[in-house]
Amino acid sequence: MDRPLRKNGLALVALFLRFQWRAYWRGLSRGGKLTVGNQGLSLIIVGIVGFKYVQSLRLAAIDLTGGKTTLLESLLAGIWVAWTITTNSSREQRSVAARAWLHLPLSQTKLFTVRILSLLITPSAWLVLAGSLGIGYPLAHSPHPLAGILAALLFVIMTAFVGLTFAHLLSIPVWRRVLVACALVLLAGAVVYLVNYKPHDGLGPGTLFPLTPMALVANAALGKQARLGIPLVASLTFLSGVTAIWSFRAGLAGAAPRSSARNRRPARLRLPGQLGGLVAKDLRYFWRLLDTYLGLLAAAAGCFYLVTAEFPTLDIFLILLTLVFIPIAPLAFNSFGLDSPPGLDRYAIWPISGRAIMLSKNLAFLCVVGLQTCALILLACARVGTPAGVIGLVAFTSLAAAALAWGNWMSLSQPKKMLFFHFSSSSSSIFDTMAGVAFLSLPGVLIIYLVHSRYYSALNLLLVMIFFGATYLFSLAVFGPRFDQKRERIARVLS
Amino acid sequence: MFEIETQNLTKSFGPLVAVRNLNLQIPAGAIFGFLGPNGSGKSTTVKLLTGLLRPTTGDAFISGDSILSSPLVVKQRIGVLPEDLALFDSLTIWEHLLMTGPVYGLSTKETKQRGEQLLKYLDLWPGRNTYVDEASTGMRKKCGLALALLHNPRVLFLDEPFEGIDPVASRNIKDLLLELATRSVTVFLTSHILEVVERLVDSFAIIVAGDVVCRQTMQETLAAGETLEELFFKHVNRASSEDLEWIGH
Repeated sequence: MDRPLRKNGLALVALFLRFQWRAYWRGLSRGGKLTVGNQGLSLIIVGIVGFKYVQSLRLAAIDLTGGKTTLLESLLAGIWVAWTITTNSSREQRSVAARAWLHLPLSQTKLFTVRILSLLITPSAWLVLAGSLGIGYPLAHSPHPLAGILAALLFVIMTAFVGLTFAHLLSIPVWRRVLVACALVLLAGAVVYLVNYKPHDGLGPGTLFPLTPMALVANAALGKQARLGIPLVASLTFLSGVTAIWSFRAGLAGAAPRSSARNRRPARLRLPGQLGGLVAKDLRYFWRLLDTYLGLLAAAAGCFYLVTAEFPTLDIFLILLTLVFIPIAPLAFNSFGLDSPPGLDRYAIWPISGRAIMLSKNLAFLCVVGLQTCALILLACARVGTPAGVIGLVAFTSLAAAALAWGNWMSLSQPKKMLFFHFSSSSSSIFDTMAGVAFLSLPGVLIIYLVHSRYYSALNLLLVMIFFGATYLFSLAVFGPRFDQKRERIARVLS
Repeated sequence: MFEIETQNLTKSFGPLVAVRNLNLQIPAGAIFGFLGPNGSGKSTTVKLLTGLLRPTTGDAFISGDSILSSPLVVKQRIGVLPEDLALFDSLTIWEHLLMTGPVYGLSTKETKQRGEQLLKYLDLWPGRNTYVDEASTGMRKKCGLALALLHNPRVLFLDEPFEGIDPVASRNIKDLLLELATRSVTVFLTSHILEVVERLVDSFAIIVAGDVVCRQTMQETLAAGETLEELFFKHVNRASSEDLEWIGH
């Protein structure tokens, strides 16, 4: 009865890629975001970053001829970060639906090939790829250009594989826990190292890690450790490729039908009131976004400063407090991004207003950011002084109010789907996000200015807080009711 | 006063008119069946009546209150099992109930009591701690039904309540709906399973391409010596079946 498959493997892969490509671009155009959302401005920003990158490439080329590799290694590290973000961002994940194809007669090799090639569907991936290939320019000016370029190519492939491995492992619950445990161990190790670090010992990070992949590429270009460099990079690339394939298979295996009788321990967090359940739900959602952990990392860095600095200052404390808000801004700026269209329907079924729904999202954000910054404020109280703690509280309130005031508008006007256990891309408009980050930082800047000016008084600090508090209340009053009107559009964008 | 009443309810999506000038009057305690082929406008009507969609023109009233001018009052009064079930990812069935109760003004204690009774009745209690995105279609459907009933609504809107449900749960739901009707709860349901509808509803309407083409009581249908299926196919054309010779060879 079955007709043998006529299409060979490559043609099947091409077929799938063609439809992936079509689905990706159609999804973008159906979201209505090709012409709106300040795409032009985003392009200008990308252009500026690109220009700076090209300048850095030229400087790296000059450095390399002089035997200096610091800038080259930094650029390579940047490429690694870019590939990690590209492979782990929500948008890239959406274009890959390997799990949905498991019922088709496709081998895992073909599925993996589609997975790899699908990475190159999005324009952001093209830019990262172009940037990665651009690293060939300084290497071409090195004493050993061929060895350097070969090592760099292997390095780029390795970074993509490592990013993919992370993306795959993050989709498996057990591995997520393992990765978090590893991150905590690494963090603890770094803290212990930094606490005991004495500049005069000469045991800097560079001496501890002389064989980073970036250093290996640089050494290959300079002809140092030539026998060791390229084989080591090749081995790392091979190893990362193997782990990428293994993690991909593990991810697919995790998609097998799970027992519906599998019981979960119910969440212990219970919040009172009509909106308590909604706040608890959003809290749980927010903790499943990687951005939240970036915020936690920023808060941990701030705490580390306050604990270890000989004379911690109020200014740096306030800057650190402001910095904690920036990585988690997407939680406020795209507060419906983690909801599914059926979830949005549930909001419409319930007898609660759009304002109440928005308030529940705002409260969840406040809980997350409050948990992240409370240690920072308490430490400021202990190390800088009680007034610093009080100023910190004023700054926290103002920063949160500013973030939410901007976020309530953006959540309705620029919604975008976010995926659990990935970095969010806060909204479809880079300009609005950047403007939002500037706005949310404003209270921090204002308070630092006030503290150093002749206008410094408790009343003025209070006025700042009242102003941003009022801005927030205004945004809740105006944009809350609009949720009811915008719900269908948001659902369309998130679907 | 009718429990559910619509006045020239119309919904258009661009040039497509999904529901056209719908006028319904359903008394309290009635079980009303809303039938039609796929894409005929059944689910759109449920969405219009429950505030999930805004009508293009016309209005709908639940116990005399307009869904347009008093949406929160109406929503407090109704229970809904929507087409997409409207469940949240990554929450368990039990968490859905715990979250929904307080939204309708129930205390946590009351929510837990009612939730437990409902889940036991629907044979869902052992699986209450299953994430809805890991649950089977039937479990998800039962969860949606439990959420619709939790606050003891006066009017129940059920979009395909029997789809994907096992026979035991299906029987339980039918018994429950009949019991609810005796307690003056009005039920508005859509279903493709005509045999079930036939045994359950007091009256029904058939909608085809946005227009109601037939509306009568079950008594009238039986008195005419017709089954619901016969009447349905009088109004709904079956597509001519192609000769699919290639299947099975």
